[in-house]
Amino acid sequence: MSALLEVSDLSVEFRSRAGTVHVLDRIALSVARGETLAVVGESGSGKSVAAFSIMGILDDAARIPNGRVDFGGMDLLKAKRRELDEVRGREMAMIFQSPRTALNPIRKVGHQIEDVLRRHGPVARGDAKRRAIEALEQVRIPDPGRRYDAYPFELSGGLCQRVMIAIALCCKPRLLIADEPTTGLDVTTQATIMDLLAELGRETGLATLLITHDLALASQYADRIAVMHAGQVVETAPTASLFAAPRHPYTAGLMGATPTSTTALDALESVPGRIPPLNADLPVCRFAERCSRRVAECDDPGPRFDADAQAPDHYFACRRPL
Amino acid sequence: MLDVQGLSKLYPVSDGESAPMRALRGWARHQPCPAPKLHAVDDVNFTIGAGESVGLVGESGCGKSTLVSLITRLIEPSAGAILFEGEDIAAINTRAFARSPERGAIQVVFQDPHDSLNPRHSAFDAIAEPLRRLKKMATADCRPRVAELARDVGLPEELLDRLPHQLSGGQKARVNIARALAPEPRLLVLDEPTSALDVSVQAVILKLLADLRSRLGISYLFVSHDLNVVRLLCDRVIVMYLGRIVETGTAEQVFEQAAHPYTRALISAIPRTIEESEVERIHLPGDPRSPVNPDPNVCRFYGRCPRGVDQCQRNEPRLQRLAEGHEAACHFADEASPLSALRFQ
Repeated sequence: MSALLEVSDLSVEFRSRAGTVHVLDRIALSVARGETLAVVGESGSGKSVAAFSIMGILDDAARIPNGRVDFGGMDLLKAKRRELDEVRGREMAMIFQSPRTALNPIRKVGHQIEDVLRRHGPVARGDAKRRAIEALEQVRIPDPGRRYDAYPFELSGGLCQRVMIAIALCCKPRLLIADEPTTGLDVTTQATIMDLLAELGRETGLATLLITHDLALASQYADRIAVMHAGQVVETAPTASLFAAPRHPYTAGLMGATPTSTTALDALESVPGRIPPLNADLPVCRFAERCSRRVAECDDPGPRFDADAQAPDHYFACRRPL
Repeated sequence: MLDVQGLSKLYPVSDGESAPMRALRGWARHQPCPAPKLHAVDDVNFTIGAGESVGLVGESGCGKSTLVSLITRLIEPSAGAILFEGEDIAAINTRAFARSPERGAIQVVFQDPHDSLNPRHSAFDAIAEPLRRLKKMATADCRPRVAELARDVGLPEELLDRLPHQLSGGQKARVNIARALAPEPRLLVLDEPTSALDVSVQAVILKLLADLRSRLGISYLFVSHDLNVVRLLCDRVIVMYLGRIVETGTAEQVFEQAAHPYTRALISAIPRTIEESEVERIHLPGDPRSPVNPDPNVCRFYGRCPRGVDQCQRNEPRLQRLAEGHEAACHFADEASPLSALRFQ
């Protein structure tokens, strides 16, 4: 499958009073057409920064020393602002963590959808309204004609998230970046939103980059999973392969720490330690300090990514894999 | 130990009519026209035994947090009794309760470990505060007791002088737990204690909570939206929907033989890893009914319930006993199949 989005060798650093913070370290991610890739990791692992750098909405303090973000043949990092504006919103769109703060509180949700439609092409006034209502209908909002006139505060969290998905999808993008789309929602609402995203993905051939801290959620909805730790991608594999045999100790640790419907409390493992401070000199393997399998060669410089001999799509960055 | 009887909390809400107009309308009709009431917690009954751990689950807006505030006596109930070791603490007003001996006996660990600590108080100050206030200890005498509490929750003693921003999420969670344990409570209310933590840290805190309960013999009321966590930590589970308890039973009864359609939908919505057996998703269409002046004859779940027949609009089901300790408020509760039958073969 040809990749729609290909991130390679991307590093991001932030200038701060405490020195330069190395937030991303030569990460590589790829999403094929119609595929869902989940990026999983603890808070502070750089998941959101990865998404923000793909969208080109990083803070001014950020600097990208090296890397390439290839989207449909275009290098987004080298693109001009005007070129980016044509791509963002139309070709790739993003939904954010808290739908209530991401929507404009003093504008009707219908108008907020029309804003995006107007930005990306001339639309007649009556046409815009019809298409906005269609967009609301597409995300299965009951009674879309009436909701068109609603303000965000009149809608529940689940409905607000659907409005945001409608805004993201109204220009029929090829890539959707969903940054923790269901955090803060109830499990029942989470299930409906995720089912909706999966369904729309199937209908329209949409590729999704799903950012989440919930490994179980990722396993249920993603085709492939990339595990991040302290700004590095430590393992990438098709979901089934990752769960069948995690190779990186951190992935295995996360799995052991996630409560499931069958684990007992005693069987629950924690991952010791915490993400190292990213403003200091960092070892080659940023997980080494927390790792129980550390050996001397872990500190050797040089490339660390390795492919699984049995499963060719399964990559891991570990010198002493499981 | 805790016996909650007929507890309700109703909030008056505005329907756009001004108070004088309402009074005038009442005068014209020769009967008072009260403002509409939002039924946040509606006629709730349950008990927590000594040393027992009870889980409270339900979606946002179902009244979990209101119930927690009522039991911890932070707000006044509209009706009902809260018997704590035989004494009705609902009769003591909230201001007086803050100084009563029971204040120390019922303690809360709040949701966000960062926001619930004073940013200008060190870990030591946070843990010593309840000792000074409730146990009337002098600050100088607090040291050994605070050190002991820190040891209990696995907080290194050298961290006691740090401010919250110098502590990690897991360490702040430990400070919060130590602070709640300081006045030696007999009931600890845990309001989503791990929802703000990463899974890697969550596991340690859950084990710590289980360990503290077995060592100190305190009772837990554990509020959470993560059913997998509730299953790990609780003996019994209470499921709330729109201000009412819709199902209660042992953890095993609720997770294996859930009888109320809402509980079943809730369990079916938990994300599952590939290794777990697939469960058929039960979709809940639409939004919950309005909690403002709910029709006393209609089931609260009607409209979203996949079953919902005519009987459900004429007659609100009350909790009925299904087995020892297992109750559900549904007309068809006894027809529910075990949850394992939901699984795909």
